[in-house]
Amino acid sequence: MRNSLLSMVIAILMSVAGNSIAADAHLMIMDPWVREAPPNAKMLAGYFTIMNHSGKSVEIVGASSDKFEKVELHKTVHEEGVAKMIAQPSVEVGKHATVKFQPGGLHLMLIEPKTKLKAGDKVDITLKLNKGDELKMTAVVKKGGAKEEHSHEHMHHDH
Amino acid sequence: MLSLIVSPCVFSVFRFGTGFATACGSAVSFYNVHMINFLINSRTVIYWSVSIILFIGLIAVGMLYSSRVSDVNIKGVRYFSSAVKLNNFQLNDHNHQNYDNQRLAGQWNALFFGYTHCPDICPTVLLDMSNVYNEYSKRQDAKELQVVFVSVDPNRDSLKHLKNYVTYFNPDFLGVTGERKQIDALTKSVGAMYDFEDGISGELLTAEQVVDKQGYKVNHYAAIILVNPEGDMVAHIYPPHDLQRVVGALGTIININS
Repeated sequence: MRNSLLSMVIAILMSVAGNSIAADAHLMIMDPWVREAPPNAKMLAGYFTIMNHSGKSVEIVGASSDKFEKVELHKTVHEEGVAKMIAQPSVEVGKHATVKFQPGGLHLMLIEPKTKLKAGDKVDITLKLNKGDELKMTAVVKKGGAKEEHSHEHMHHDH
Repeated sequence: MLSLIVSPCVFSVFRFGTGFATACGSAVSFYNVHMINFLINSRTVIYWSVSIILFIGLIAVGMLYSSRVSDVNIKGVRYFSSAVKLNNFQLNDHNHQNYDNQRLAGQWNALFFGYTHCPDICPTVLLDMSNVYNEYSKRQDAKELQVVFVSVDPNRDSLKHLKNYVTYFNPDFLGVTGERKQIDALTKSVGAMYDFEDGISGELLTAEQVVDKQGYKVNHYAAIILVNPEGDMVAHIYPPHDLQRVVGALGTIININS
């Protein structure tokens, strides 16, 4: 009886941990979302905020999702009025640092969706870290969104 | 205008005259001197009052005149005080209609260049522009405005694909594309540069090289090009296309040119 109660508690704890990404207790992913795109879109974008509470920097070296053929790390930059997407071989999250993936900046390029995704759908995405670790997240498909962050981020642009 | 400049000079001469009168008056009598000084003083007061009023008037006229220019000095906007004629171009809209210079006539036009295999910046601008369009259209002084998304990637963007893509963001928006030469005629005359880049190696590709490819990226100009109802370009509105700033800029530029 005691044993089964204990295992139940452990199971509950594990499931909670599982939801909040358990690969590394020092890394935290917040507000992962995928922007809803036109039904015929071949490319979507995923965004999230990652916090590194540890004293060591971490590198994101890749990503994958069973809902897409391929996932890549990209960054939108503006050079003399021209928008460019620069593929990022890796993205560093420094010790005790926060990195935001958001519209108009760093983003997950989600290539060739296998199904049509609508607002409210969930997308499992796995980030690959250096040293072979993985970080899982469940992103929610949302329309538009992140307006405030978007305009805030752009305060740094100067034309 | 000339009289405004001349009148202070006339007043100076007049004042010199009264000063001369003072000198003569002092020889007459103490009482008279007081009377003359009183007259001169009241004249001086009038002189200064009129001068100050004229001066303020001049400044006001100057400000009124310069406000027509300074109002257009909006952050993140390149304004062409004399509208720029565009090259002739011949494209197609997403309803398979001709889209050429004539289609720009009769209403204001906001043109944006991009491609639909664009996960981040194009949807961002299309979403922003949809909000801008809805907000601007609510204004009492709003003029008719057509938002146009020009795909510089006809290789992957068919008109049908473009229609589904663009109208998702706003049913009033128009998707446009066409032959490479015709796209270039338009992009060159508005100054919207673009190029192709291999998705893996990052090397630049020519338009011919991408024809049979899929996995390439398009670097493209990200400003909104504002074209007046005569079909001439009046402004570039640079990103980020924050709602209030762009609606304000649109309103100002359109009102000045209406």
